[in-house]
Amino acid sequence: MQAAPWVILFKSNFFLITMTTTKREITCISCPLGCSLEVSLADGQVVAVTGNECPRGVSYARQECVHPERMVTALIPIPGRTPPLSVRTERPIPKDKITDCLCAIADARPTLPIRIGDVIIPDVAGAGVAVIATRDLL
Amino acid sequence: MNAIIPIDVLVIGGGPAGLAAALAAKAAGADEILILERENELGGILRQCIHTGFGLHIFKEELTGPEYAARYITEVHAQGIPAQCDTMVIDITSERLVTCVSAAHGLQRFQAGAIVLAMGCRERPRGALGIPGARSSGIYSAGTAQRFVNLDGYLPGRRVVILGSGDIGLIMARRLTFAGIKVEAVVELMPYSSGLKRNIVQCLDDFDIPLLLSHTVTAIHGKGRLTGVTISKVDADLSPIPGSERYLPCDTLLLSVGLIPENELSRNAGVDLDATTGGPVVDNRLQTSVPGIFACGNVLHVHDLVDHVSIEAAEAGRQAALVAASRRQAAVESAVAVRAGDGVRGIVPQRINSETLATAPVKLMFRPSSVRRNAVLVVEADGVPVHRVKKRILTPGEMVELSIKPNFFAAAKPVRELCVRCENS
Repeated sequence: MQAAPWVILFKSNFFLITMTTTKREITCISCPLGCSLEVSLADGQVVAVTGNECPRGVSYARQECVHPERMVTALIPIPGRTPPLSVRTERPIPKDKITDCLCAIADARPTLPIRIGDVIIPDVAGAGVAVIATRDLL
Repeated sequence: MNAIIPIDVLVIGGGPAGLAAALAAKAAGADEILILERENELGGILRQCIHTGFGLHIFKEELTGPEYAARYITEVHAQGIPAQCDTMVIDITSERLVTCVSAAHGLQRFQAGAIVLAMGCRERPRGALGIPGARSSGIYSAGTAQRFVNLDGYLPGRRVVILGSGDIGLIMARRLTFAGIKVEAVVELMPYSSGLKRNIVQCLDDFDIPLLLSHTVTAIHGKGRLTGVTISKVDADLSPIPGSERYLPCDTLLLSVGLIPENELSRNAGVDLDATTGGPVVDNRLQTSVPGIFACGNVLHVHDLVDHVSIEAAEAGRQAALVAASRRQAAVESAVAVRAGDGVRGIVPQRINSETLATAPVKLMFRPSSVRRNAVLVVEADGVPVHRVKKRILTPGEMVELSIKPNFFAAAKPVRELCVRCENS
């Protein structure tokens, strides 16, 4: 992330002067074009997006720069058993909670039998999202 | 020797293709269906693909591999379709006599009314690359490492370089990072990645793992265990540039450099193979050059999405059931040859029944041979352009589907050859 205290952006359809704008470069993942987006942020909000070839780039930038989320999948070793138990978050969680989520999963000691879809951790890393089993381990 | 067991539809392989084919064969009325699987449980490669991203097309949900497989396995059990695991097929004849071995049943022979080939693919190995250097331990294909971690519960090393930016390599970069392993870099020969943008962002960028495009591994170092690799930049002809060498210390090198359909059994059966796809030559019903033998999924051509495998396999299973039921072994029909022109590689199917082409839409699948922006796909019938489609982007990493419709053609004139090529707009 690059802070630019004095930024003057001039575009045919858009003119903005601000003292608190920061810029980020991200790759849009909405389609295989993979546009390189330059996102201008002020007070944590997206104020401008350039480099996008379609409107999906703008909504992707809004999501990704303001509250990025990721699905997390992981493994829990079960002593004496293979394969390990595979698990995932039921929904995407905030990206900055991935490490906490992985730590909570590493500390989990589920007891068998476990069925696909069983809740392993009801609320992981305070994200309000459950971690569920993605296979049977009977 | 045991008696020969008659089966209507015999499915070779219990991965996503085999499961969908068996279910579709059942739905189409086949009575005796059997799935043969060499692993100890059904599911194929999905068992080790514990990441999400499966099922968005078919189930409108983002599932992991094991969850996607479980939906089909549950249905296979519910339909009462038998599956024999831990069973290795060792021979298939052109008369559809299938020989297999297993600890539980010894040697078995099946006479099938129709066979669905659904053996999947395997990874290109180090030997196919010819990288000079030591024969150190610590060099694995990315999928092997994925199996070690996700199924066997071992970590392959502590400090990893990945050669090739295919999706399995990208997915493994994230998995290993999650497991506390340092991924030094992903090294890609081409100036673009064959992996999905989503995977580059979420598996590499998220963890600041460098993606070195137009680079390759030019030497492997380490007696006993791998100690490092030399990487070099490559020029436009993909040749290493002298003086650009850089040493990367690592104890593990993963190769994610392509997949090859696994067709040794098909070859034994006399099935014609396509040199580009590495899979059987098929017609629009997914029947190979041997009547009664069908192919689908990654044994036919390597797919990007399992959803597409399931859809294709269902068609193969349905067609196999029809052939098995009628006991008719389809005669060689009048067929239109399908050819890949400029900028297009690996078209499937390679033949289309003339009558079908004139009456119903037929789906063609292929890959562009390079990245192109604002390209036009041109369909030609006997050298005459009959259809054009604009594409904002084409990349070899994403299979293209093109529907060939009857109204492309003048009714009076029978078509002998279809060609799809790519041109810049």
